[in-house]
Amino acid sequence: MMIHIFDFEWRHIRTSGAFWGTAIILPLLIGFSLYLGSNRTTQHVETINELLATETAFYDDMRSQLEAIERGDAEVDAWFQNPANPLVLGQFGEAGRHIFLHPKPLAPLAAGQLDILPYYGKVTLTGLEPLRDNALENPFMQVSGSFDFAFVLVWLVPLFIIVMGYNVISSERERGTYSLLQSQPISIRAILFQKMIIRFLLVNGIIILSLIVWSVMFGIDLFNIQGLQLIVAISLYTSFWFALCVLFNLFQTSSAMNAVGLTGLWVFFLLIIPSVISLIVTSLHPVPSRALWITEQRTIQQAVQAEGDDLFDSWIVEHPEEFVEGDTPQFYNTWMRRFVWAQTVAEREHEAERQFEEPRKRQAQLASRLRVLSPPMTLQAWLERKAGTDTERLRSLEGEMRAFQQEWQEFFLPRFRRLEFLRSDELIHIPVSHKN
Amino acid sequence: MLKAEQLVKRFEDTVAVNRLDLEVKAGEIYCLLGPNGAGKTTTVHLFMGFLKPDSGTVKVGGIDVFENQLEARRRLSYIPEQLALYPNLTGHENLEFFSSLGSDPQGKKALELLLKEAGLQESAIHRKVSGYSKGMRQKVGIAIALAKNSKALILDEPTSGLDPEASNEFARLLTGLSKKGVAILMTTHDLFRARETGTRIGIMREGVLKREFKAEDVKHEELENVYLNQMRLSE
Repeated sequence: MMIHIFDFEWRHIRTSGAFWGTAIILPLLIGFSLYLGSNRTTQHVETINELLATETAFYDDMRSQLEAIERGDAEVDAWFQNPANPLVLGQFGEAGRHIFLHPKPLAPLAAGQLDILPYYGKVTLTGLEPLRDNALENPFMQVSGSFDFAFVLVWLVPLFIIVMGYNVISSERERGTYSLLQSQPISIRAILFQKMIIRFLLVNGIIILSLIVWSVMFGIDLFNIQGLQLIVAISLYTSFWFALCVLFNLFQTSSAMNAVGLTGLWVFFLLIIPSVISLIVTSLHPVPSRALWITEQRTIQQAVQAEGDDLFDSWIVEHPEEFVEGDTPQFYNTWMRRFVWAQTVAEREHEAERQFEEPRKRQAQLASRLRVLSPPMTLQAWLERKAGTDTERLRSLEGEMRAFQQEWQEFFLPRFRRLEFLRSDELIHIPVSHKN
Repeated sequence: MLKAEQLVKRFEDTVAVNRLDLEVKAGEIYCLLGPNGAGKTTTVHLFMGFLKPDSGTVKVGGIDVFENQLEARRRLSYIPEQLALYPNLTGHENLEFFSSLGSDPQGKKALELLLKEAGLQESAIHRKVSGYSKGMRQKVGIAIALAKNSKALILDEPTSGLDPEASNEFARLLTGLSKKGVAILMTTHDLFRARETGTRIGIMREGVLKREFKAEDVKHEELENVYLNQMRLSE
């Protein structure tokens, strides 16, 4: 009997504008979002490859120059051009390493926080510089966020589901067929569930099929466990919205009332709950403003500048073995000072940053717990995690850059402090980020 | 086959059906007359189980409509005053759909035969219902009842809006069904049709079954007089 109801329901649905609207518009939206996502990811991969190629070319060039000097085929005019100098290899110009958060296989699905947070940065002896592809983003994008698959799924799909399911039973009442249905030896609930199941299968089928087809076209690999998880997540999410449609159809309300009620729930889950959660977390764990943090950074830098030579002198007293006294080049003294100051600034900033970072972490934890109140928010967060574009992962970049900077400094700074220049055969030992 | 005992239904302060005792036996056509608001449609809805009575029982073939609703509906068919079908489906498809709800689907030929038996023109069987007249839709309703092999049929003002010829044809169909042993309960305002078609006639007023006749025992003028008297009383 179920097959029979499916068959008849399909005959009804295929004559409805709502279905054809969904069947045409939804795949186009999914296709467009995946096209943009795929372009974005390709751009990231290209940026990464380009920067890695530049790095490799730079250090290959340095080694060639150094080998030429060692053979006596070339001479160095100035200290800052000497490829054996740790400063030239670890600090100046193109020297340094880029640390990347490589796109995950599902990265094209969700832009996540990429609009706001960088996915790569450059590390030098004193510098930690998070970088962006475009320094100035499109202001419209800043306001609206990226158009991605996560947006289509989380925000727009529920609207299509509402259009497909808001009047499954109420329309029978309005058409006049309800009493004839009601007089048959089958409960209205059974009819409702079966009608809703076919709608669920159709909408879910459209989404999953479009996702697979477009993904194959745009080179997104979904044929793995993550793809399967994604399909399950999509099915659960669409089931949630269809369940709401079932609930509204169980009440003896008009189609108009159902539409208004379901749209109200859409607003509730997608706009009101996130706003309320934001209000709660910012009230319970207020984070000091960004302006305060910048002011704090400036204060630290000014204080270190003011302490100037005193700071350096006390460092020498504490680390006499790490400083070459006597007739040393001018750049040595200058850069030894700079390194001490930079290290002091970094240590003090790191300390000060905790008071800004701790409330933010507590905010994130609380928001993560409250997010379960809204299935759309939960799905959005899950998609961003799978895509690797969630706040936590992008914020981890800075930690990874710091960790790598320590490795970088441990390689170059002791040599510089001892005024030891590198040989060409040592260049292969220059640290490389494991992430890359 | 259809039996109501001490049936009471109230809507807030109004008693729509008041201690109604009514029985329709197999092969009978019971015509329920009464002015608007007399409680005829409420009675029909109580028999169908659409409304729950405040007290009393309704049974179809001995099965309590409220205790075993689905089983009762297997034995019962219903044709509302405005029989609505799915306009984008043909008469045949509508019959196929409704007859398959809760029972095994029947073959195409069998359904075509049922539609013909219900009096639907052959040329209309595979036409979309959106072009059907009320009479044609009701024939599909009859075909649904035939397909279910119902033991009882309830009709709510089936002849209102039908032209005399269609009404007459419809009455013949009902008579045919009753001869097959189907118990028919029909509400109507059409005194002439009630007397011509019905085997028994009841007149309801203010939720109470005021008078009952055997159709053969009452002349048309008498029936009209009784009915008009009841109408006057209700005013």
